[in-house]
Parts: sequence; C-alpha cells; structure tokens
Amino acid sequence: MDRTVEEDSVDALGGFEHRVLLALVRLGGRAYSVPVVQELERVGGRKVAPAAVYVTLRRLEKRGMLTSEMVPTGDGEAGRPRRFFAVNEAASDALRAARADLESLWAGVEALEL
Amino acid sequence: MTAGGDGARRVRLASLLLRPFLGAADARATAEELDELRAARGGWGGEAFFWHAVAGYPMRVALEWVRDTSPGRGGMDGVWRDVGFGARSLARSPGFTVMTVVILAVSMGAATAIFSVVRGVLLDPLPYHEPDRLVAVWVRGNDGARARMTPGNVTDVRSLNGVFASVAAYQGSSAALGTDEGSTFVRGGAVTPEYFRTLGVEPLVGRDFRPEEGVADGPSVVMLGAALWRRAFGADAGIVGRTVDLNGDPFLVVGVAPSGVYPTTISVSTEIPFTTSNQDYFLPLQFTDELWNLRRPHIVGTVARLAPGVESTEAAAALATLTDRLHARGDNDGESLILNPFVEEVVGDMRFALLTLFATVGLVLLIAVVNVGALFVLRGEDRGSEIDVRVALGAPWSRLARQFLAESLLVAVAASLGAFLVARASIGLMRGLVPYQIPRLDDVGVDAVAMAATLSIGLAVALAFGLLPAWRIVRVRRDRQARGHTAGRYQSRLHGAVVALQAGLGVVVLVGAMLFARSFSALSSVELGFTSLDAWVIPISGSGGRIVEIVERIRGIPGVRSAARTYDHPLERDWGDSFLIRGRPLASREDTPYGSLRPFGEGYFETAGIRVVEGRVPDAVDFGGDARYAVVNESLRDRYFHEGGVLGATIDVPSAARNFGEDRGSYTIVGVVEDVRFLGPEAPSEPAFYLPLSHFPVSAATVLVRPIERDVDLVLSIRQAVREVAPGAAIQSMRTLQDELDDRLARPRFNMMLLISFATIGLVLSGLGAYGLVGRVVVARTREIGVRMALGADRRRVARSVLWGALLPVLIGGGVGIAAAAVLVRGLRSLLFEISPGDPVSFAASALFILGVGALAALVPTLRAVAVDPARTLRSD
Repeated sequence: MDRTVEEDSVDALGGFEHRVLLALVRLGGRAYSVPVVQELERVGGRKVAPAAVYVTLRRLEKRGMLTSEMVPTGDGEAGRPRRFFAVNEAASDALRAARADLESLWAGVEALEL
Repeated sequence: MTAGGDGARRVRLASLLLRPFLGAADARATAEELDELRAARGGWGGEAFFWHAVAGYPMRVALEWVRDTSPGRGGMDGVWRDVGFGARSLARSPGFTVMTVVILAVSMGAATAIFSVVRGVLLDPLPYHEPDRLVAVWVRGNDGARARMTPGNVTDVRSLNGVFASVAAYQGSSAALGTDEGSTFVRGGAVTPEYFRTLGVEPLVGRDFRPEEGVADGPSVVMLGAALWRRAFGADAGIVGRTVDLNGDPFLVVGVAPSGVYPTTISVSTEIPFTTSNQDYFLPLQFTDELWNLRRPHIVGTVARLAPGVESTEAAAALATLTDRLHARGDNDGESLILNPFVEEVVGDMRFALLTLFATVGLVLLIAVVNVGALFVLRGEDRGSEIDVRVALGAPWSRLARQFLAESLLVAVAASLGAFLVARASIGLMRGLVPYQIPRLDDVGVDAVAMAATLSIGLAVALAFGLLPAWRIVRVRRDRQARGHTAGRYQSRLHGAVVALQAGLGVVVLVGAMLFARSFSALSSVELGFTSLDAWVIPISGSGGRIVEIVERIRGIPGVRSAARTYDHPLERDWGDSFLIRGRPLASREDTPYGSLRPFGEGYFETAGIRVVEGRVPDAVDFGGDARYAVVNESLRDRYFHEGGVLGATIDVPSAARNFGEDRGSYTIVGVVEDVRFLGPEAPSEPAFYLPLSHFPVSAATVLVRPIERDVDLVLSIRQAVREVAPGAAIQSMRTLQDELDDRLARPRFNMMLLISFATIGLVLSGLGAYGLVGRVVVARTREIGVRMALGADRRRVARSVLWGALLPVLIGGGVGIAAAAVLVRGLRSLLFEISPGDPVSFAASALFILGVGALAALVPTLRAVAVDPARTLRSD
C-alpha cells in the first residue's frame, strides 16, 4: 500500500471526518462514541448513524490522528469498558489546515449574497 | 442504561451479532454504547433505533474494509474497485440486499444444521470401540415379533465357536438409593461381567466387573453411572471402595461407568430409551447355572461383538444353523435367533425421520435459491436501462460482468456468515427442544463438511446469478444487432420458467406437509382402549414386600377413586410369552400361541378404565381364592378362538409352571376385555393375556391410582401413605397416563412440527416468489394490452388471454410438482399413520392452493391493466 505523502496529508480530511473530529474537540478532545454521536446530532440538528461515527473514529485512529484505549467506566461489574478516543497533534494540524484551506477559498466570496 | 434482564439480553445478543465484525471487546463496548443511546431515546423508538443501528455496522465495516484494502484512494483498481462498486450498489438497495442475505442465510443455515446432525448421529452414532462390529441378538417369536432372549439362548449363542468375540447379557433394574436425605428412586441395569468389554468402553474411575462377580451369590458390588456419580456424589473419585445403600443393602462401589452405555433397558419392540435416567448404576447379573439353562422366560437383552474376520451375514447364518439345531432338539418353541447391527438398534427409526427432514430442508434450500435467483433477475431487469446506458457509454462488458459478480459474491459471503450463525443457533435449539433423545446430539456441533457443502452451494448460487445480468448484456447486444429490439421474449420465458419451478417445488413441500399434518391428526384420535388418562402411574422401589399394604392404604385415602397394583401400566409392554390352549394339540411348534403377558392386581381394569366386553374380571374373592383365572383381550380371542367358546377355556403357561411350580401353570379364561394399544397409538393391537398377580407371583411394584379429582394434597397424601407403610420405599415419580401418552406422541408431534415449519418457510418463499413474478409478467404486457385495447379488442377477451398466459406456467409447474410429489412421498409411507402417501385430500388441497395463489397474483394486475385507459398506457411508454 504505497500512498503518496499528499494523500496522507491534511487535505485528505473528508467531510464527515472533519465533523467527527470537530465534535471530539468540542468534547474536550477525549470521548467515547456515544457523546460524539449526541454532539453531532445536537449541533447538526439531524440523525447520525452510530456505525458511521464508529468506523470514522477507527479510520482516523488508523491514520494517526487519534489514539484510543479501552477504559473501564462505571463501577464494578467487569468495569463496563468503553473505547475512548483522544485527539493528538496530527488531528490539530489537520483541522487547522482544513480550516485555513477553506478560509482561503472563502476569501473574496463574502460579497455573494449567501 | 438499563440494568434489567431484558436490557442485558439485548446487549448480549447485539454484541454476539457484532462480534464477527468488530471483535469481542469492541462488540461488547459498542453494544453497551448503543444501549445508552437507546435508553436516551426510550420506548419503542429507542428499541427500533437500537436494532437499526446494530444492523448498520456490518455494511459500514465491510465498506471500510474495501476502502482500506484498495490500493490507493484515487485509483481504486481491479478486483477491489469491483467489490467496492458492488458494496455501494448493494447498500443503495437495502431491501434487496437484506432479503437475499436473509433468505440464503436461513435456508443454508438450516440445511447445515440438519446435515451436521445427520452426519453426527447417523454416520458416527456410538461412542464404542468399532461399533460396526457390534450386533444385538434377539429371539423372533412365531408371530414374527421380536423378543428378548431366554438365559438358555444366551448360553446357546455363547457356545458358538469362533463367531463372536464376546457375548454379553443385560437386564433393567431399579432400586431405592439410600442417602442422608432419604431414599431416591434410581434406574440402572444388571449386566454380565463382559458387558463393558464387549461394548469396548472403559470405566471413568475404578475398574470393570470381574468374572467371579457375575455368579450366583457373588459379592454385592456396583458400578455407578456417570450421571448419578455427578449428581449424588459430586463426582468424587474417592467413592470407589466405599459402599452405597441400594434397597437397604450395602453395595461396594468398584467403578464408575461412562455415560452413553445406552441399552440397559431395551424394551422388545419399541426403540431403545435413550435417557440417562436408566444408567444410574450397574450391577453384575448373578444368575445360577440352572437359570442360565432356562428356555423361558425371555428376560435378557443380548449384545455381542463379532469375532475378528467374521461378517455379520456369516454370524446370522451361524444363528440360523443354531436355530435349526435347537428346533431339531425340541427347544425354543419354534422361535428363531436373529441379529441386528447395533447401529441399527440405536439409530433405527431415527434414520428415516432425519433423512426426511434433511430432504425437506434440501427442498427448502432449493426454493430459496430459486427465489434469490428470481430476485437477482428482477434486479437485473430493473437496471436494464442503467446497463444499456453504460454499455452505450463504452463500458467494456467484462467490467460490467465483474461488477455484477462482485455484488453477488458479497451477498454470498454475508449469507454464509449468517448461515453459520443460524446453523449454530439451530443445533442449540434442537438440543433444547427435541422432546426425545437423539443419541450423541450433545456432541454435535456445526459440521465442517456440512458447512463447506452449503458454502459451496452459496458460492455456486452467487456465481450463477451474478452472471445472469451479464449474460443479459450479451444477449441484448446480440439481439439488438440481429433484430433491433430488446429481449422481451427471453425475459418473459425466463419469468415463466421460474414461476413454473416455484409452483412445482411449492406443491411438493405442501403435499408433504399436508400428509404429515393429516397423519398426526389421525394419530391423535386413535382409540387407545383405556379411558383413565388421569390415573397416576407410581413405580415404587424398596417397599420390602409391603406393596400390597401400600395399595390398601392408598385405597383408603379420601379422593382416591380406585387403586391397583400392576406389572405393566396400559402404555407399557415388557413381557411376551407363549401359552397352550388345553385340548387343542399343536399342528407344529410354529403355531404355538403367543401374546403379551400382563400380570395384574385386583381392581386393575376398573382403575385403568379398560372395558370388559365378555364375561367378567376376577374380583377380590377370586384373588383370595385358589381358582386360577385369566382374562384375555379381543385380539387374542379373535386370533385363537375363532369358533367362540373362549370363556371357560383353559390355557397353560409353560414358563409359569417352570418358574413358579406346576400348580401355577394353568388358568381358566373368565373374561374378555377391550384391546389396549400398549405401545402407543402408532403400534397395532396384539393378543394379550392378563394373569392375576396373586397367582402369578412376579415382583411388581407399580401402583396405578385413579383419583376422583387431581389435586396437590392427594399427591402429598399418597407419598405420605407410602412412607408410613414402608419408610425405606422410594417413589420415582407420579406421572399420569396422559403424561405417558404425551411422551409417545412427543416424537411424531415434534417431527411433524419441524417438517411443517420447514415446509411453511418453503411455501411462503415459493408463494411470494411466484406471486411477485406472475404479477411482473402481467405488468410487462401492459403495453401490449394497451395496443390491443386501442385496436378495439374485447376487454374480457384480453383479460382472459393475459390471465391464461400468466397462469400457464403455474399450471405446468404445479402439474409436474404433483407428479413429482406422487413419486417422492411414496417413500414416506413408514412415517405416516393411517394416511396413504397417495392421500387425495392432500394432493387436491395442495394443487388448489398453488393454483389459487397463481390466479390471485395474475388477477390483480390483469384487472388493473385492462382498466387503464389504453391511450394513457401508450403515451406513458
């Protein structure tokens, strides 16, 4: 699998990946998938498939933007483990780059009556 | 988050479903997370959300996987590109995808499960050493019925040189096991010392019996069965060398037998009872030498291992020679010695039922495949214009074919995964639900060969149907070149063929299901010959000879209508014997009269509710007196007393005279009672003679109690009464005759239920398939209808012709199906009860049903088509 440097770079951030990453940042940079789903639904105002969020989080993890670990939550009873995802430097870079990218594209179109 | 059992089950099930896609840990966590989201939504909406969300994972993960493994995101190429295309296109039509995957998964899973059971049970049924070298030896009576061996016959068979490596005999046994908490009823066997060696099984703990333990007045030793060992002694290996209390006497435990030493209580003509409940313990059979030479009565079962190099046919021939020798010597009353492979004994009538089930499931699988095929065909047609456009835009047809193939392969893979889960669940379900014991069912898992076989079917299906749309492309192009129009004729012919196939297969399963349903209804309405289904059967052991007192005490309990001691209860047949009619010389030994011998206690016929049809039954005075009276049933009277005069005739029972003294050998017939179906509704009545227990001294410890009304207090009073009279006595159970009858019916009922459920699945599938396609055929002709009507054709005439065209394939398929069913069901004769395989009702009803479905499917769209304004039909084109 020989991806080019470009493909692994920040502008490979897809639309939904972008949203998921932002939701995670809004949640303090570390959360498991339930709060992410809820945050996306709350802010976006429409239903989000949990499966889509899950595979996206795992994909971002694989691409090195997130780290994840199983964390026991709750009390006793085998700990009720959850997979927590945390953003790292690469994610911040990617988000910043995506924002800069979009902003540079937006520059000059303010005049449009949107 | 829900903490209740329901919530936990939901999460467990979901995590089980997700496990193949996410791995165990993530599946568990994800299921719980989804449950959180479900709880936040609440109610049925939450429930729906939960399962919808669970269902979303497999496809997303698959897509992710495709995306991941494709080399380079910009240039997805080759196979992965096709797979990705297939996955996306499937995801776009979830209805089609779910339908095909579910249909294939269920039918392939069921087939795998049944195939696994068939392989496990029929092909490798016995946990013994070289089970195919084992044979059961029986006596065949001159009435053709099978009987156990006499001890003398066992000695005869042992005397055969070089035929058998070893010959073992066994008997059933029951006892009261004394424990600290009181007595419990246990059932086991008494076996000759070579029994375990003959079967080739080793004790789990301790040792096997020694030859010196199998002689009269030998030591009191016992081997415990594995189940009792675990249940009552906590699987303590230290039990060996200690003593246990059986019927109040100490027995030294020498070893523990493994489970699966089945046949200790073989009854003569019914199947072997495969319950672990008759393997609680084993005693050495301790007959005297004198007893080993007795030629009456038939009391032992026999199993033998063929000597090395001897075939079972040779052994059978040796037994035939032995029989001739015995007859020449004047022994054996015309009875012959026969053998039967042991495997047959164990799986005998299971084989056919399982194979029938297997065939039914196979048929359902076939229907499912045809259905899925039809779905693929319809989908292909729906995408006809898409294909045409892509071909027109220059897509190479090989690329298109590859994409369709990838799509169907994805379906096949998903279906196979589902099939595995379905198979595993079905086998578990069978273990829990089968009301009778299938030997070794507990050991059966999803069979690798079975799985591989169904998987290859799945793959073949995928390949075939994946290529159908591709084939269409080729045809369309050729047709276009040749004639310049689309492949309408090919399309309608294909539809017709599929409809015919659906109708034919549907008829076959329907006929089968109808036959089984009607057979079962006939079975349930058989007159059994006794009426007291509410009477309790109470086997009592360890009563120390006080059984008569116990019966007296039970009779005195308020609420008890009547009670009687008996050897066999009405749905039991343990003993067959021959007798002679005084003053009637035998033409030959083969003519010796034979029947079920049924020792009975006072009040038995009243308690069991058996009608007296002639004469009377012995009363209390007779039981107390010296006169020896017998009662016979109608079958015996009709077979042996054609000219009447049964009352007052005297019968001699040689085995009774030999065992209990000359004065106990002759009985005067005083009454005739109704026939009772001892072996349950499936078996025909047979001649039977009843001898009073007071004159025919066998140990009989079963008490039949008929209550005025059944209630719990009465049960307690009866138990109390037994304890008061004999403190060491144990009551095994208090089952009613209705319970016993239900047991007899459980097997045919379960087989029927299973077959009917499979048949119903098949029928629904084929019905839906046919319905959909017939409608399609009519819709496809809408344009033609419009043209004909526009040209002034008669509305009714057009409707008739369209209807006929749609129904023709149903008629042809149904007809062929009926013919095929007529041939196929002939093999079912032995599974049917009082219903002929050619039962016209079943055939007619099935044919009408399929025709009805076809007519309905054709009628609705036809009416719609002819009702539409022709101008509009033409314009819309």
